[in-house]
Amino acid sequence: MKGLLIKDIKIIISQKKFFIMAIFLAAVFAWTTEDVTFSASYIVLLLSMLTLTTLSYDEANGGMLFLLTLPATRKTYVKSKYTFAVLNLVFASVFAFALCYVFAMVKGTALPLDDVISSIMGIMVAMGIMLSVTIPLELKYGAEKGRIAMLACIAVIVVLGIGVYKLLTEVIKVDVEGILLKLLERLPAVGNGLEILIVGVLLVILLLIFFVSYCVSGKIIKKKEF
Amino acid sequence: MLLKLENVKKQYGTFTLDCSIEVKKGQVTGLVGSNGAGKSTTFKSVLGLVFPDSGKIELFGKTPDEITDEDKEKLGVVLTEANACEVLRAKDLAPIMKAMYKHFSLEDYLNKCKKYGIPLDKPIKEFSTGMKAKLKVILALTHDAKLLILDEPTAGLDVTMRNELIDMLREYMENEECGILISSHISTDLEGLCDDIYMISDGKIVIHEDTDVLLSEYGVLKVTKEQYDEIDKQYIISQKEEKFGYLCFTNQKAFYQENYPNIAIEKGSIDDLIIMMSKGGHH
Repeated sequence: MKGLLIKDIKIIISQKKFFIMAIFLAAVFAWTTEDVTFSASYIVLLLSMLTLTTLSYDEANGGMLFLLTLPATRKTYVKSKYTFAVLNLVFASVFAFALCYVFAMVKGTALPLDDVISSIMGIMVAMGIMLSVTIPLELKYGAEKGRIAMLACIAVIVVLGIGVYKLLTEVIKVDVEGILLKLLERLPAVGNGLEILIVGVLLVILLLIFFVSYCVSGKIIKKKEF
Repeated sequence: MLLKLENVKKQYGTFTLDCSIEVKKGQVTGLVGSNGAGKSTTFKSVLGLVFPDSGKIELFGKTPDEITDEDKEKLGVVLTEANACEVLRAKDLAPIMKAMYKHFSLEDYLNKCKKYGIPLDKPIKEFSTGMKAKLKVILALTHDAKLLILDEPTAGLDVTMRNELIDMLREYMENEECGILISSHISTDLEGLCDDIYMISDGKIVIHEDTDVLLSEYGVLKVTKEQYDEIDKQYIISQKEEKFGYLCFTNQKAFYQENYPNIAIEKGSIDDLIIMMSKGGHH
């Protein structure tokens, strides 16, 4: 597995131009808008997408055939891919935070710690869920079709979401927004302890989603012929 | 026994592979056949990349399900379609291989890359076909594998390079615990290297013979239509109609040399074997 992880890191290093561009753009955003939270999310988004980049490269040109002839079983491959995805997500978040910190120091402004952390956490969870859905799809259908399948998934979720919302508000006549607002109003009253709890719960949920996705990917690749 | 395939069957549409092969320690076994005859499917079945419908595969005495990462360290594999990620450089592959194989020799790898003109600093996508082919073989040879599984390793190489590669394989075979299963469409590569040859046609093994026997006892008769009607056909294993009459493939060249001195008989070669025993020839 170590070999496969080194391979992923080497692939990413080969994309260093992409890195430099990403950091440059993030800096430009932060400088012009004076808002580091957007740049932080942007960095996490771009870097976490690199997991999918490695997946595409693994597949291109008979790459999977090559990898599976090395001392790496299908199971090892999936394990390494998810390990990489999680490490990459953590790295992206820490890196984004560090960049914001450096940026604030250079500019001499105070770092809006709460905002930065919550936006990084938010995008981290979102990207984590996106990867959990995309990795199994790409393993099953290949990089090209996998992305189409992912878009189809998002479309279905959005349509379902809107459908459920409409059903609740227009057919059953429930005041969804009112209920949500009331819930939100109650939250700060409990104090900071709860925020940490929410973050913790979100992370645990994310890990659970990752685990389910990992099991699904394992099943997919076990049956796949190359 | 390093590798054993027993009635391994795999169906793809109308194509059916039905294959039995053995590779013994200290032996180089060749697998020949025209394109689409089932060579790659055989290789992929051995490596667990496709799942046979039935039959038995034993690699180092284990079924593909039982093969662990550790067992795979004892394999050196070159597949035509398989390539290392093309954005990586030969230099990048070294630490990957080092982490994967306990017995990977960095020194040997770097020496071989240097000897065979593999640039360490260029991404593989900028390599020529020949360089890519050489790199694949080098990767298979530098971690002390017990069994090499080589599907068309000489594809894309010129004569000099092919000979160098065959020499590398001969050197590898000095260790008698090792074995090679190799396919190639360049028959001279195999004639000088293989101890025995399997011929696969339309998914089935049609001939299995020691290379020496194949070269000394097999032959091709060139006969006119009249001669064809006259000759005893019990040692003719396949024939093809030609303008002048028939080409007949025999496994008893001596019999025809003695009994029909007027018939033109050519010494058998692997090329003849492939041409005469492939789909289209009449067995």
